[in-house]
Amino acid sequence: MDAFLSNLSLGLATAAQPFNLLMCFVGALLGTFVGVLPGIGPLATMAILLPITFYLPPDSALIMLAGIYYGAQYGGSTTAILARLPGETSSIVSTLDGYQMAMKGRAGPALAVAALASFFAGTVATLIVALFAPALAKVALYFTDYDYFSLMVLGLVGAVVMARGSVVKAIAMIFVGILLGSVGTDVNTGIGRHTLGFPELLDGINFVPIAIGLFGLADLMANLEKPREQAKLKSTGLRALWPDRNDFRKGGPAAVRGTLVGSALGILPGGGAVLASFASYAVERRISSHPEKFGTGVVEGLAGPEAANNAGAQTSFIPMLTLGLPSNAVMALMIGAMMLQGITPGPQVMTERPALVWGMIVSMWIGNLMLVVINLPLIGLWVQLVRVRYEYLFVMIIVFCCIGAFGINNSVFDVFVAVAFGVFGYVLIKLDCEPAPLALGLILGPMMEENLRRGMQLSDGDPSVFFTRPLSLTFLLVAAALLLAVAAPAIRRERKEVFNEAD
Amino acid sequence: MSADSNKQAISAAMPGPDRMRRRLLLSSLALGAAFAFGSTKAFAAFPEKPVRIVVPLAAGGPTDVLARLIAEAMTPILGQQVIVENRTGASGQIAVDYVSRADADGYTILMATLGTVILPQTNAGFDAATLDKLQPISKIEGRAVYLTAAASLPANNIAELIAYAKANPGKVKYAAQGASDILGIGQLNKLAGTDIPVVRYQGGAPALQAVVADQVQLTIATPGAAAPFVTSGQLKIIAVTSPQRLPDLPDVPAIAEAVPGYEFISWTGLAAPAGTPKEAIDRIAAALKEALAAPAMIDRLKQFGTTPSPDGPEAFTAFFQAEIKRWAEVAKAVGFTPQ
Amino acid sequence: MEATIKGKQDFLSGLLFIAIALAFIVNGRGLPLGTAVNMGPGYIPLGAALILAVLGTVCLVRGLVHAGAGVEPVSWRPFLLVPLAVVAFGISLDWLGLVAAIFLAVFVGRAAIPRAPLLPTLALAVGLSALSVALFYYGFKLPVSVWPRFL
Repeated sequence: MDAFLSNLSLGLATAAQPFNLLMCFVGALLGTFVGVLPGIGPLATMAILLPITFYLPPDSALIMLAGIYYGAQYGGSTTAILARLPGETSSIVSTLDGYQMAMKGRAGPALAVAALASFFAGTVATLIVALFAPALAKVALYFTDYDYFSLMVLGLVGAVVMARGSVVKAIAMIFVGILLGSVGTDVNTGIGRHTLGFPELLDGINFVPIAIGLFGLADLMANLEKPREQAKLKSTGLRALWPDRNDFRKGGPAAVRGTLVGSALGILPGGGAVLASFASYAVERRISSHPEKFGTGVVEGLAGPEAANNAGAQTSFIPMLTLGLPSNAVMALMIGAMMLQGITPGPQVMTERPALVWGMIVSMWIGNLMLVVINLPLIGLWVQLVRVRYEYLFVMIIVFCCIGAFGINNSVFDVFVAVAFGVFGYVLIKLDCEPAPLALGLILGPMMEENLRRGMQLSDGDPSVFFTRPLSLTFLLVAAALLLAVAAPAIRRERKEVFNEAD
Repeated sequence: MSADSNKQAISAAMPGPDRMRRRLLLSSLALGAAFAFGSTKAFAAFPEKPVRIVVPLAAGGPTDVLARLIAEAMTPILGQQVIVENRTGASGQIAVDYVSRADADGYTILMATLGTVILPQTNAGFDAATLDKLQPISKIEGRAVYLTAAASLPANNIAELIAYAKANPGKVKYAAQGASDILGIGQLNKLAGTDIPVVRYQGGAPALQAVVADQVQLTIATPGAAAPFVTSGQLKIIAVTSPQRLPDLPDVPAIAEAVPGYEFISWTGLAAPAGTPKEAIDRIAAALKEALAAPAMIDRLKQFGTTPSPDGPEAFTAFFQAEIKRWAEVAKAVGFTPQ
Repeated sequence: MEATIKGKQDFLSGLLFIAIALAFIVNGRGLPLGTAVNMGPGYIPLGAALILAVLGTVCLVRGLVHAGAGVEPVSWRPFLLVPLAVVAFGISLDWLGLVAAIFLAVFVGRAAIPRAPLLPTLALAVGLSALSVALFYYGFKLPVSVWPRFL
């Protein structure tokens, strides 16, 4: 405990320097804005700023870059809630109940719930990082390919729980996602799969243009056919900017659960953080007394995932800080920034440069506080924006979709990908097939395949390891139980209906 | 004046912008006519606008960081902003295709790597002639890498590793980061008569992590990436991939000591589209040389485990061609087919 | 035929899933399958496609025998013009520059609503262009030209 306190005070001494406070603020603010803009993600922004960090002291540079990352997690939910435009993987879940809240005229409370849940999660996760980082680093190394595979299976089963409508359709959508995820270079052999001859597809279909098309453009097309829907969006008055008591009562516990789920998944270096918001949504829906209302704008469906998402973002710093191993592209860039500063990343950073590490950890909490202060007043502004008549708003959304799709990889090809998925997404809306399970299959499919195939190679073809490794076995058992719990009633119901029909 | 007409002739002969031109014609015929004038510009004093270095790898990786360090140092020397732009994808093919098609004016240059010259071996969809549409400018640096092993591996140096791998087939597996090091380990297997299977990872970090976590036994690592884990005792250095031992590590054998003829050098350099005026090429090469001579830069590169070795357009062109040939032969010898 | 399809939505979803599965199966013919121990690049996609085909068949059959939701009619104007606006942007961006691409996207997109007045659309195009140039060209340094390349 003494060590913990001295570390914390050392960190505070670093993070509270006026210049570092300024850099933290700059990072958080920038992050908020790039989070709001689809396509321009934290990664691109950090890459642009990388040369500038050159002229900053190492601690200020990393504090600012970290601010951009978690700031973007805050900002990312804004467009997801207001325009059903997830700028990043993590904000897809916010297009479910968050967007529905906005459609019902509760954009203000939705944004406030997102900001507050994120802040709570950020606070707790920072504490977790500070208290347990060195110990948790070992957990990260303990995870093998087998465990990751089984965790991904559990994640996909979670997608079935998320689905609002038909279970069969939801499972089918997961497989559509897995198939789309298989596009690109096969990791094991380097063979291009389903690329139709486009070199742009050798690295797979970019996620952002898919999300822009599937969620953003498709919804736009569907909205434009319903004049009444526009009226609804317009009526998003200033009626209520602040969440009501019910929001707090229901959303509070959800945020606590989301924080726990997100913190745990963020630690995994194999990219567990992407699962955080999905997992939290599945948990909330599973334990809810009214699961059928999910997807219509229930506050737990927003507060939980938002908290999970931000918690995962914070704890994903653990493998990077303690081992020098990046768990995602953003962390790889942080490592690049360290190298630019002349710091060799690795386990020794914690002992050799404690002021840097702890300064960064403390700055995360300060940054989260700043983000709430930045974001809460902005809500008024965002809500004003949604009040712009839809006949103008939708054109703005189209333009931002275009630039966003282009910006993710500076490639016009991605703009056309967005169009294709826009049309596909519109068809899915007409057929009442939900895009969220597809998105999850798309994200998890390639990771699952990679871990499965590598696991089989490492075990020399013995599949029993998946059942003998305790972690892996646990995940598989939970997945099986969950699947049974969801599928059994649905199958029974459908059977009954079919038989009734037959009678 | 002659440089101008030359340049026009070359750009007219290049098939590159065809597709784009067609697209343009589709959108407007009048604009298409105007385009023909678009790329002619007097070549007064290079550079008169920002220069872009196109990096084929993701932002934040070692190659990207290196490019940014150089861009930063070249900016005051050239008197124009040098910008780093990441165009990732298809093992670097996207960036190479892009630069080979860019205007040959010296304002768009490629951060070429070992991965660039092996594209004909790794990507079936890659037209090998594309490499001829590049004009190498100068090497930046070249470095040996470490062959590292998990601490639990009984073998401690290259000779022991080969003996152990032969005696225990399948017990030693190699965590591969990409196509180039698969060729590297393939060459080792071929020359040493071992059969070390390859397990592929997506990049250096996960491969290294798998070895640190003791899930796979071998991988290559840059000195910078390996050092902390060697210090912590989770990794050991089996050998270096240069033909001779490194001055910094006199006790670590070179692979070539046990496997004569083995060499694996990872390098970076700059290349422009073919047909770029000589003035521009020479100016960039000179600026790079000056940037790399600064003591601060030498220190920075040391941290990456490498030393600057700028060589100039002629030498680098010869090296570039030799590398293309060498890796084609290695790929053929180890039976690595483009996919 | 129409009369026998009781749940058009399920039926068409099933068809869509089967079509996607078939497309991946046909397109992936040449991919080596490998073995369960050493799976080739074609193994997982083929497996996923087969499962999808089965699920699609379940949907299809359900649509045939079991009354369900119908499909709302497609409103052609937004269905054609919204994608067209994005396509126009994509085609023009490289050669006509950011401003012209945004103008095209705004005008084509705006036509998705019938009888859109000209003046506010023009103002919107100007405003969005200015904002985008400031934000994306100067701010985020996207590698695009602002004006047509031949100017």
